[in-house]
Amino acid sequence: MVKHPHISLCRLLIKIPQRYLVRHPWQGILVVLGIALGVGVMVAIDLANQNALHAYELSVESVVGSATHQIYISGQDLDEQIYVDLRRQGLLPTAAPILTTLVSVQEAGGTVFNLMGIDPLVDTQVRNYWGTSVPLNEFTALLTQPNTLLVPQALMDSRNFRIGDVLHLEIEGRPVEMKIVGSFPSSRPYQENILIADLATVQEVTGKIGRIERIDLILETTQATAQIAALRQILPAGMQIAPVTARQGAIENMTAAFRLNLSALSLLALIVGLFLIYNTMTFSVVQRRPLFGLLRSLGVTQKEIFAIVLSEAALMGMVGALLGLIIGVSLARYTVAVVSQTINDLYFTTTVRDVPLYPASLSKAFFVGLGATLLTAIPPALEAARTAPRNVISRAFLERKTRLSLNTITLAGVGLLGTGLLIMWVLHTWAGGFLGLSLVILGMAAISAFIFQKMVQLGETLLGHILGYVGKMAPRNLLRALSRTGVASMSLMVAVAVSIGMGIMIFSFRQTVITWLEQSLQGDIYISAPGFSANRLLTPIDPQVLPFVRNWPGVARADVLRSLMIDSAWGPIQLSATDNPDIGHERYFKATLGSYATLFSRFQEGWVFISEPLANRANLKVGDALQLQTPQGLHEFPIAAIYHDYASNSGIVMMWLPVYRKYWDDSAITAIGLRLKPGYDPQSVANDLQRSLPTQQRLTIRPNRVLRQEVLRVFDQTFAITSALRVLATLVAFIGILSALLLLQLERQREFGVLRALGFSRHELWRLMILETGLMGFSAGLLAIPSGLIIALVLIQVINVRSFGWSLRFALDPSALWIGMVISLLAAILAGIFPAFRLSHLSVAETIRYDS
Amino acid sequence: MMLSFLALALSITGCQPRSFLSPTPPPQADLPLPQAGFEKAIQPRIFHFPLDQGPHPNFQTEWWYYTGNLETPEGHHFGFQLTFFRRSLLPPQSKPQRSSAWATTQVYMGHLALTDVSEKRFRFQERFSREALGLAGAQGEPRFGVWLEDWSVVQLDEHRYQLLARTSEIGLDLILQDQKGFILQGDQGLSRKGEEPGNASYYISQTRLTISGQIRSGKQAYSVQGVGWMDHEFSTSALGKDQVGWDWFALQLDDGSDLMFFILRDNQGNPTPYSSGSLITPDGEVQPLGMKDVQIEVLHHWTSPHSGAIYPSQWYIRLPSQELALRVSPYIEDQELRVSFTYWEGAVKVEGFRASMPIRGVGYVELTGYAGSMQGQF
Repeated sequence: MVKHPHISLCRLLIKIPQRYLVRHPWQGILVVLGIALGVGVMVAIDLANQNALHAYELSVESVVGSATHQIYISGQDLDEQIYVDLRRQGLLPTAAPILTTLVSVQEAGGTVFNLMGIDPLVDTQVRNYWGTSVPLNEFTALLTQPNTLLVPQALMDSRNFRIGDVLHLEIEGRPVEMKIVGSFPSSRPYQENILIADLATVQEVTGKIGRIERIDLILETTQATAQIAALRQILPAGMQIAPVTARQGAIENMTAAFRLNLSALSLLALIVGLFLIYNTMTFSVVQRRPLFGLLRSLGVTQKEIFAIVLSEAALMGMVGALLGLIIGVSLARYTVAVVSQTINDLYFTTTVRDVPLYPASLSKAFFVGLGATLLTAIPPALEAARTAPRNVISRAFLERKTRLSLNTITLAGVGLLGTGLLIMWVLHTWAGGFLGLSLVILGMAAISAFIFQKMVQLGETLLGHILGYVGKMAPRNLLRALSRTGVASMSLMVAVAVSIGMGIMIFSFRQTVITWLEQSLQGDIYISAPGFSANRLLTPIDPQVLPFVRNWPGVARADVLRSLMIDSAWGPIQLSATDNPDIGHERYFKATLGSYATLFSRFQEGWVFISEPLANRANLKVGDALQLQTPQGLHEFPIAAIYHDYASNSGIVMMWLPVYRKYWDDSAITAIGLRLKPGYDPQSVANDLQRSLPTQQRLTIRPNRVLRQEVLRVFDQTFAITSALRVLATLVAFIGILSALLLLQLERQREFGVLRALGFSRHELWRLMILETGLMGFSAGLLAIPSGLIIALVLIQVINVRSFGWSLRFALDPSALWIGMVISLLAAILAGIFPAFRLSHLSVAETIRYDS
Repeated sequence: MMLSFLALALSITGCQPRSFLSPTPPPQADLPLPQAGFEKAIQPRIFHFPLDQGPHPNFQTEWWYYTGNLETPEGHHFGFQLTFFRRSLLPPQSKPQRSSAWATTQVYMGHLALTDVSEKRFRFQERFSREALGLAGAQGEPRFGVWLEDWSVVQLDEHRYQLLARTSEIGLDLILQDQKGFILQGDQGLSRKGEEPGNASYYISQTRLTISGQIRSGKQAYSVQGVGWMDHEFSTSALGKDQVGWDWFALQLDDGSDLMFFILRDNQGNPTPYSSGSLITPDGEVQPLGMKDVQIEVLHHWTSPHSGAIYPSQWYIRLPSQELALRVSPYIEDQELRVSFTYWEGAVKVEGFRASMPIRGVGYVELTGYAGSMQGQF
């Protein structure tokens, strides 16, 4: 091939990889696939994260407009008179009141919209939906006629709505009819998801007569401080004025942990992919040592050889990364939906849909993929460059070298493992957790080569006894080729371990949630009003319902719950007030003041229980005081207990209902828990109640068992993305095992030919080849078990606590272990079958002629 | 006086009103028609004060116009304008029953402007609100009052009013003392604007209000004294066909007499026959004036650098029967308000002769329809 000594470097750079890839298409394909999957996963997750964040920002923008500040009461609506007073005193230069509610529109397929009640006469000061202006007759109808609204032009077009059409809305579970009296342009995506009505109309359809949600205002930077001071002077206690960004930022921070966690998990897939690249590149270099030696003796410099190998990697990296973008974008359709749903359940309800692709996400993933490929290719490229001109030859030399350095690698592995653990221990941050985890994985990978060697040696003895000389040959072959088998087994181990670790973490989480549900859900039937988020039921129930169910036959007791979101120093948190006298028994407590009796009497005195994520985030302990902004002003509530809760990671404060009502002056309830007298069947009582409730409101009435199933369904939905990531990591692992072993076996075609020539039967050859790959798969699978357990432990004990504030009980999922093993073995055996099949169909002469 | 067009003021965004102007409403039969069900100004009526100083919701539009010229003891001259416009979206009998206190059929618009002559600055602001929860409104009894948020004019006693209004840049806190009582313009208060019956408004004025109080212009506060003018009109459909705008003059002369005259212009820029006015003697006697009584010559034009509109900017006004010849000049040229619609409304200086005796005065001039037709706006 390289006969001309004056061949230009450029041509060489192109020719060598080209020829190599043409002659070994499998290697190219597998590297490209590895990169593509890694990049694809990264893109899919990144797009989903960007989408979630962007949807949130747009949702905020759609209701906040260009307001800089807001006047509000944490967890409550404002009395409209406050607004009027401020206006009449001239204290609101640029401001607008707003009252919003989420509605679903039957004619739009049940889609959720944000119905914004505004004062069109002043609203343009902070929000602009109209573009230029509204026709007078539309405006007149909107202002003067009850139950009228404006819909986005895009919705008019897509649903063929006409002015005068009546829409059937559901507002807090109640059916409401509203007439379209006009439309507004929807040039920006968020404008497609709002409906506009006059403030009077929204007060009427929500029943919030006399209330507004908040006042949005624009304060000029130069005068803001003075204006805020002036407003604070006259605002009643409990009413706050705060920058819009403060409230928005708090929610973004809350979701940051969630999004970062996903990003980090998606990076794990890339790490697995990188092992694969490393393995393949090393392999290709080792395979071509004679060629590189020859080139060196022909005068090609070390630098040039380095460049050749790296350009090969670059080529594959580019193709792989591009392919990864395609995979990522198609996967994103799924991830975006799942991540949005989860964020919707856990944090906030967005009404924004259809968010576009982010070029930044794509280019970032492309360069990370390409860069990682190049970095990974550096050690093999150096290895190739260091090939001495004379040392062209024998693998024996390399293998000796590998075995010599095995001790060094193992030592380095121990070092990495130790450093990783140390980092996790010292750095109590989320980043520390993930950095530590990465080092631990690397360390375990490094150690695994050593253990692999020991295991194979052990296998030699065992298999020799059972299978005779073939049984002895297979392990020896693996040992002889340790430079390649070692790296391969390392990557297999990492891939399978990550899969096992994630599997156990999800399983443990689910088990913990089941325990928590059993402890916390002790009523027989639960009644709530439908909201737009699975985890936060904040819609008030029609007040007629409670007295009605209390008198229903079979009902022994009805406990009520009032849940609402309030602002705190740690972002929005949920406040839940209950009158359940058994609350002291019915929480899954982590730390308490003392006995249940003490706990309950303190609770009645105004102490609160807080959920674990809040305690972690706010660094609060039992006995500390929790400061909350109440409508009566700031107040400190001492903490009687910290309890486990997995419904919200923003945190929950539990309060005794009479205490809550003293500070919040609010009689609404958002959930009712019923206890039945003995002998009554929850399902049939629930069915009867559903038919008989004296309300227009659509209420959800669920027996305990159904509610538990629902919660678990939401849980599974929340973890769908994590599970999907696990599947993807496993898939990468599978391809990794397959490729590594396939390469190993294909390369040894000639060797197997010689064996055939020496009298090996086809049958014996099959057995040898499958035994070899099977042994590797088995040992990798076996090694992955302890590593997987360590990864699971770190995910459970470190990452989850630091990211979400949730502590989980470790629960071993046997299926995670055997699935790992099956994957290893299955991939390994598959990798043996193909070369064995191919070889057994070639004549002995052909096989020997094969020259790599 | 007669800036009627509350209608387009409702153009929400403030810039280019698209559609309150549109003469033909879009074909949506079930939406209310703009003028159906409202009372029109057809016959002269008997006014009852202070009740008739308050609002008339049976009529679609109504406004209260306060203008005046003020001076500090050092001679620092100011002009001010505070206007309240009311627009009924529905006639009272069509008003639906609603439970929210925000529900309304009455919308208010306010314009506030201050001309600082020494500083050569003209500042203005527009505001909207609804008649609900006391955010904006007007009343005739027991005492007159009209307000929009913190802009207000309230009656203190029979002849005294307090005017309060401010923005972040300007402020007015003035006491207005009425010298001549209510002046009924046109035919006993019925002011014809066009051929068709109903192309008219009810129009009453207080043409001489002596003023004292405090004002704020930028960061500076001043004690001022001066003379002001109040116009109150209500109507349902005043402008006739082909009328695109008007030039309105309200002048207070130092011999104690006051002159009001408006020219209604057609689309060729020519005065229409319904242009008219009145001369009010020092003791409050009203002398109606028609086109034939008044000669007005434009001496100078000013092109707005903001809107590009070309406004007449100096006039020579003669009333031969009164032997009155006046030169009317703006204190500063740029007194153009660019709000929901663009118009010129500014303080003017009057110099001239009456029966060969020098005479001086101050006043306000309003010029509409120069930056777009006023047709269809009321």
